[in-house]
Amino acid sequence: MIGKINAIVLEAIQKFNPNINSIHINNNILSLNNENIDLENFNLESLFESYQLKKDLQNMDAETFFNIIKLNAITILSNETGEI
Amino acid sequence: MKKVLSNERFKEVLSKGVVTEELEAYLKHQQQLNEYQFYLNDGSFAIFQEFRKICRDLEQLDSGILNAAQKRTIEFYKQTLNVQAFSINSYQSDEGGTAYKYTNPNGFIAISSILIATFATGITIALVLLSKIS
Repeated sequence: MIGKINAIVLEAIQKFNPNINSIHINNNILSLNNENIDLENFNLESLFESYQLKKDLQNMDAETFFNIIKLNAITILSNETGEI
Repeated sequence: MKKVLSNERFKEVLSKGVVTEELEAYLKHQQQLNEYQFYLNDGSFAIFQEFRKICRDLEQLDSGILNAAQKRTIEFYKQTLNVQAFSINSYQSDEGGTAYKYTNPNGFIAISSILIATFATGITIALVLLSKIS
């Protein structure tokens, strides 16, 4: 379920900013170039809690946006499970 | 995707006192959170703020009683994250979601100083007038 939501959210973002088209999602695994992020139960929609992101998203490049997703996902998922 | 220490595990590492690779990776992650703090969702921002609070609490302790992990954390905090002149306040933006802004606590001090000075001047003038009347 969360995988479908994340795919829809990414698609909507890509329509808003085509610079981000190089980011792909498959089975809830986000990828850019050779780097992959398993989003697990991280919800991409939560990124829009940041006012600044909403403001800057239109002109953001794919790498920056990918790093922002990665940073948020690692932070949330690490603190949910407590894993290293 | 490589995860990092949770804040709870970070506290455990601090209490054990040993500087580990996991601690260094955790601190590096906090540095990235600092750099991208305006792009964090509410959960990530709260986790980052908790880290900063742990650091501020450590800073209050006598440096003589700190263990190696605590000293490393304080050193990192002072070099990388310590923005004492500013504090971040969050507020609900007009467009929805949470926005963050820097505020300068020195502004509070400046306004307080002006109010105190104005009050003191008023009392002085009142005393001078009273002494002239009497």
